Amino acid sequence: MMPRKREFAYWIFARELRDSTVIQENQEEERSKPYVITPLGSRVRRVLFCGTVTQKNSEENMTKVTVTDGTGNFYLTAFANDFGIQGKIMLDDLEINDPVTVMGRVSTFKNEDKIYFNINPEIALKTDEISLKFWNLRARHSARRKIYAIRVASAGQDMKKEDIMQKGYSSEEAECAIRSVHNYPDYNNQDFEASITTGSGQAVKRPDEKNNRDFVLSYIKSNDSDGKGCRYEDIIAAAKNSSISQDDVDNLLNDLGSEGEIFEVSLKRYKGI
Amino acid sequence: MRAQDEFKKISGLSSGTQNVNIHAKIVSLQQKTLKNDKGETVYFYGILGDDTGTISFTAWTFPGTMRAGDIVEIKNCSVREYNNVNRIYIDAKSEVILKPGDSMEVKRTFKELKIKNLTLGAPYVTIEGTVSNILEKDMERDGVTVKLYYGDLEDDTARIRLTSFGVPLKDGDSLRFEGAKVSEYQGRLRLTINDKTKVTPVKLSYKIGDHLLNISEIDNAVGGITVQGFAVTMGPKSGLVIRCSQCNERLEDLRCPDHPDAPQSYDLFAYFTLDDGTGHIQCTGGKMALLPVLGIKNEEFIPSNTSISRRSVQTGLTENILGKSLVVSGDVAKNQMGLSLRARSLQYMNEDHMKKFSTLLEADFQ
Repeated sequence: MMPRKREFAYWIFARELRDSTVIQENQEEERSKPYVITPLGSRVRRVLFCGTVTQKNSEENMTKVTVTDGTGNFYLTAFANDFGIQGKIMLDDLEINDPVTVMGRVSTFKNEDKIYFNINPEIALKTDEISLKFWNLRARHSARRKIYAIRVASAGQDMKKEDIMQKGYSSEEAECAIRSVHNYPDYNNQDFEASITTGSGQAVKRPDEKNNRDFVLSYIKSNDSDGKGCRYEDIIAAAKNSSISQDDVDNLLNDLGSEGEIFEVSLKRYKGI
Repeated sequence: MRAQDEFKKISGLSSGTQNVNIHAKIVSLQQKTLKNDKGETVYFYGILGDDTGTISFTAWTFPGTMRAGDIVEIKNCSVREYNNVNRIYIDAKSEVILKPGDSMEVKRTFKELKIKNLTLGAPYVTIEGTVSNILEKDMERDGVTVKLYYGDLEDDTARIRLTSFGVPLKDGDSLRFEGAKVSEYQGRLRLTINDKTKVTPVKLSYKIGDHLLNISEIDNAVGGITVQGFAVTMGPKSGLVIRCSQCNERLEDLRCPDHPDAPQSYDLFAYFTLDDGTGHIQCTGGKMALLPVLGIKNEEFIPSNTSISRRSVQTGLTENILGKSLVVSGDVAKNQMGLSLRARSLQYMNEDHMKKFSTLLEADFQ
């Protein structure tokens, strides 16, 4: 029997997964989970990411944890069954504000034309600042290379994988670029690139108040994932990753509310106007 | 003479040509078995040469009686590019005819490669690097005593074992070898040189560094490389290994069957998967690499230390490796499961590693 090839774990930001709208069923393995085709063309079934725990809900049979990486949230669920018990034990060990490293399988749910993504953790362990930075650096580098490859793929008609590889991109990057152009021709890569350089956990020094204000406003507008408003804890965690203190965030939320840019839709939930 | 009967010289072959006839010497010949769902397929590969140069070939059928050194006529083969290099393909419509009385001088052409790019597919190469860890000994060869030098060769990409038959080598020498032979021994690539290899001193334009690679760049069983990533699985059989202090054999029982009175000694073994975002590789580690991770000094790692048990070691290894961002330096070896990295050292990622990594990645966009 041939050894089974290990599923690749993509180091991707939460926003790349959240913005995904294309699901590809695996025809060869009927019972296996489908692949998610992301806007950068990654064909994802397993992800590896680092972030901060912002929410945890632990019950006897199930634990749910939300992890933010500064660009958005990953939602983790583990059940107390034969397959999920190890994952549940790991999730139960986590506390709010813990920095974590997670590797897990992506599950997808469709509801009224909207796709929701859930991560079934294989590992979910507390980590340190250096590991957060390391993950961020690599994930950002991979994403930027993919964006540049997409530009090459978009530049000419019917660009082939070999044409893109000749420009110095790997086989995987070239395949991703072609998938991206095919599935997401109108995706705003520029906006995505801006979000991973400013919003990601890579501690970017924000030189002035206007940048902080723009960051918080942009984060609220782009992270209302369930339609009930962006959660205060997520804003704080993302801001912390970008070196903005909680006091500054509180002041900015007040200012943005007064200026009519945002409103508090329910307790500690914010929506952009 | 009809065009289809013409014999071409190797230096005149161009990619995309069909029905090619050549008269050549088999410089090297190897075979490989491919396994897939449909069963097993054997194919042959190697190097052909004539008085104008050499070329690699792949043959889906090849006479079993042929050996390296034979002179052959090959008819109706094709030439295509593989990895940017021309290659001859021999298939069912090709004909391979042995020419027993012929002799041929082959003009050796050696591809100039970096250590990390060495493969068995290019068995003779030109390579540059600095030699180190050189030891020497005398050996008998065909009734003659030959001085054998062995050690390492290192360039800016990796390190490889180097063996020299009769050509003196000295630690710290930077040398260029034209016609060094690449072979595999115990799953690792090695280079061999002899009096036919042209050896010249060179001044290298680079400094030997950490050989920091992406996992996706590791194609071959070379040594002295460093990778960094997250440990994402931990082998369940990782842990404490108890050995006989006399014969060093692993003990399944309390006593060694051959040395029942010899005391036990402690060793460590762990295997885990490292993922760096570009790929993953199986890593293995022994005592010297793992003890620092466990926070135990070598002199404390002894059977009389009651704080050490199988359970404490296994738990310690899992807690201190799984999910952590690690910098692993070591040698790549080929085994049944593919390539694996034997760790010489294991460190946690720190600010210095981050600085180097950041510089490396930033250089990509400049």
